[in-house]
Amino acid sequence: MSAVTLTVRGLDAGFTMGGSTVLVVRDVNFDVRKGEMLGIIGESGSGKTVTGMSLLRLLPDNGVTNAAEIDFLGVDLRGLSDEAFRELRGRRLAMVFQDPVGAFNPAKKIEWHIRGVFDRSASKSPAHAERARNWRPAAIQLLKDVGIPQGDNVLRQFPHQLSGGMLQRTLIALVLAFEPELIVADEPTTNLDNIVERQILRLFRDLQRRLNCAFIFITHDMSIAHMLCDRIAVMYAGRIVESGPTKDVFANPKHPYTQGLLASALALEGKTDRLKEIPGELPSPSNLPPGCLFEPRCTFAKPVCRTKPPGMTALEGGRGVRCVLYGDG
Amino acid sequence: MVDAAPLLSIRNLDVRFKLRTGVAAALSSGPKVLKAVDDVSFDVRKGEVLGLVGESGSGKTTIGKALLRLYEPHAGTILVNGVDITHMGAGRLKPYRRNLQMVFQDPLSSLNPRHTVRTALATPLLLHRICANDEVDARIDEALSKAGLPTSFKDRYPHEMSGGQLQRVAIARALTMSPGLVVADEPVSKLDVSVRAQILNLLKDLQQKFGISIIFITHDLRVARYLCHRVAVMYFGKMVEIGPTEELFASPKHPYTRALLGTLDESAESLDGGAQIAGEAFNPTTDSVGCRYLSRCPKKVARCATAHPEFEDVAANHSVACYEWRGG
Amino acid sequence: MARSFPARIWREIKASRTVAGGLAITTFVLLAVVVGPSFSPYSPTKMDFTALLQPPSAAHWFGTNSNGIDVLTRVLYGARISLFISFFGVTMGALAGVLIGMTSAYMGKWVDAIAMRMVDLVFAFPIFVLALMLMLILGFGVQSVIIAIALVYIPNFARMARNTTMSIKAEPYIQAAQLMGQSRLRIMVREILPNIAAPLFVQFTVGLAFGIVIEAGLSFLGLGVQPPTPSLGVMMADGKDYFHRGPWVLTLSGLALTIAILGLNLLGDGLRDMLDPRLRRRSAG
Repeated sequence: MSAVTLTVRGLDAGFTMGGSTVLVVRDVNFDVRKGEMLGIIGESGSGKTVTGMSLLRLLPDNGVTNAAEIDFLGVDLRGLSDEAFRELRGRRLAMVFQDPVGAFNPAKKIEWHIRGVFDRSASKSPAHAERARNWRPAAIQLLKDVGIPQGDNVLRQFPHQLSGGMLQRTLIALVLAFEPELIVADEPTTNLDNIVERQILRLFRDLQRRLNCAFIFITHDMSIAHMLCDRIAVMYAGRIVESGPTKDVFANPKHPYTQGLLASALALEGKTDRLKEIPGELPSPSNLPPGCLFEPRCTFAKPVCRTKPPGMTALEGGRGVRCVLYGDG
Repeated sequence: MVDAAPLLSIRNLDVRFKLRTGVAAALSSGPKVLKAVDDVSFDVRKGEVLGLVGESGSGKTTIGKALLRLYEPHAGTILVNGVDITHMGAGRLKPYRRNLQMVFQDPLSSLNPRHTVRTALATPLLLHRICANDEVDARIDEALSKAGLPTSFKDRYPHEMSGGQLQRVAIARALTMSPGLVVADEPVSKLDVSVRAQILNLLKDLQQKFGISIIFITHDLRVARYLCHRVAVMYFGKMVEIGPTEELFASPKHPYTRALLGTLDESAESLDGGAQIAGEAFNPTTDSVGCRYLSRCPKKVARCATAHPEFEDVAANHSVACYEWRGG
Repeated sequence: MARSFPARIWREIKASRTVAGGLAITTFVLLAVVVGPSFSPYSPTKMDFTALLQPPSAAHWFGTNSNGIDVLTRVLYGARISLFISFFGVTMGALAGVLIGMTSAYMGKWVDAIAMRMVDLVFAFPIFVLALMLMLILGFGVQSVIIAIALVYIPNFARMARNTTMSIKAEPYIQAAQLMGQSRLRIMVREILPNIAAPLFVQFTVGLAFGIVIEAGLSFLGLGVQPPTPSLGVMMADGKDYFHRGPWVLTLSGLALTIAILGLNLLGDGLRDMLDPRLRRRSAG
């Protein structure tokens, strides 16, 4: 097994509003290894986005992050000054957002953005230095790698002149040039059309294999996680309720929530007369049930689920589940 | 079950949007109109669910809103039970409004933030004198329970409900008018994944129970497959293929339909083989002649560049707009 | 969550010091103006030549003026008239402006183009200059002041009503109302108006304050309310003439004007701040 790139233990994150703190992420634990793609799956309000933002220190000013451990290749990210963190974000960590527009300076052409990345990484090796010096062919090749054949044209354009799919490709090209050791991608294909989405997912797979980096892919779409990720962590109302290798979780989901999500997703694959429903609605983060968070919607709920929040139970094959059906944790 | 007589007939519908107006139009050399919907015809029978599938910009929502007369069509006719409503004024149109309803994509913004559920549901009842004034409350209760909500929701404001609950209210509002046709515009795409199945099942149940016709607009092929009797595929304002759902999914004829269906393969292996790149999409503001799908089509031949192909029958009820659908 | 709408509003008012302060001052001013005069032993117009230009004292808290009339009594009556004029003027302006603005936004096309160009034209003039010009056309007097204030305010309200209407007329709930078969008029009144009322109300409050200033300004110049009817402007004009012998007349009626305007402005500003984040939150989705 390859080396662990990022270790997260006991991560709590939330927001202070009017003097009180509402935690939307509680006790999140996971590892991401080099060359591995971890999928964090959840609905809106599950805390998946806040998890990613808190790791990269991108929460708004009223954001709160607490953790027992956040270790990135031996660096304790919790103790880092904002200055040092920005430095790290510029060199070794990358984030890809749902909306690629925000990642670009609207007043600068694409070539400016690519040259910036080349210049910043020039000190890494002589090859990098050469790339920064003779940047144009390298940039065109880079764009070709992400499926933009007319790179020469694109280099001379401003971000707003490119379509959403093209911009996301260009952003992936930047990340590719930048060679980070950890990438966090938050719903990067949600705004794209089916066919373009498929192409971009291919690029992500390609990107991760080339860079052999650690990759956290945040999504609400089970089928994307299925295609792309080596391991997944399913979040519900701020907690990870199930984690494990993607194949195993999909073949044999343990948590009733995962089972419900998969049942309705899989039912759509073929011809069904009726979709399996998960009854009820997501709980509000300011008014969580006292016991298991999924208890009000769970068909297997027992009396104990109403009072005592279940811990994470470790199962065979690197799996874990937060449910009393599998031991007390 | 599906009845033979068409409830709705759309013939040669054209919808255009002005891109530039006034001084900007005079100064600019570029095109001034966007053909959002270009020469589209189809029927919807009583009790039928027709899926309109396509990507953003394909014109599927525009068709829905134009046939409801929320947008003015540039050309073409809209027949409802044989009556031409294409150019009807607001007064004459009012009795037909009841029959044609819509469920919107974003349930929160489809309800007036200042009105309670009671007000939202009472308005159509009173406006169309659907029931006596003292029966309004009972009718509201009935509509809410049909949509699977407790009657206590009557006094809630939109911001006090979740997405799934709001969409149920919106469905209940449409039901109060006992419509013959409902245009459902991506009704679950803004909802949480775990409540989508609830709303899809509700729509299916109501459709079967009351024999409502639905035009179901979606970009999600799996959802279309679950709910629709027939599916029509849109690409940049043109309908490119239409057919019974199972047949279309089993043997798609248009290259675009095939590409779309290709995205349904969810195996990890389907992502291998590096990035396969199709050409740039059709540019509706510059390209004009020829097949819309030309720039991306793997099967293009010389005449594809001369004119957009007419519909050809593949089988009963299954048509495709492609010159080369027979090959491979 | 389930807290009722008025209860939430009240909680927010208490949370905002500006609104609370503005509301307190405005309530005080309104009370003083409505009930105050009936407690006064003096008449606002009857002269008393035995007590000319007396400085403030226990008998005359604000002193007396050159005609021996109690200044406080005159201030209360005058403020009542000033407020009345401003209220009617701004109300008329608001009604007409909102009607024009909403119609303009809803009809669009040439109606909108013509209405908004006219609004732009009026906007090009400084408000007070415009009011002065209108007075010269309309003639002097209370009625003319009201009409002038109304005309000055029509473009303000028209512009604001148009812009807010434009921003929500494409909302799905407006389309849903159309689909129900609601008429245009009904949609404007029932669906759109409640959603644009809040910013218009803020504008109204601030407008009320500036309406008083316009009234005072015009009357000060002798174009508005005509003596002996008291208004804050008339009194200040009066006080200016013998400022050296009786500075309290001008100073104290000016102070009263300031307090009334301060209260309304605080209220308007506070309400704007209170409503703003909510509007932003809604648009952020």
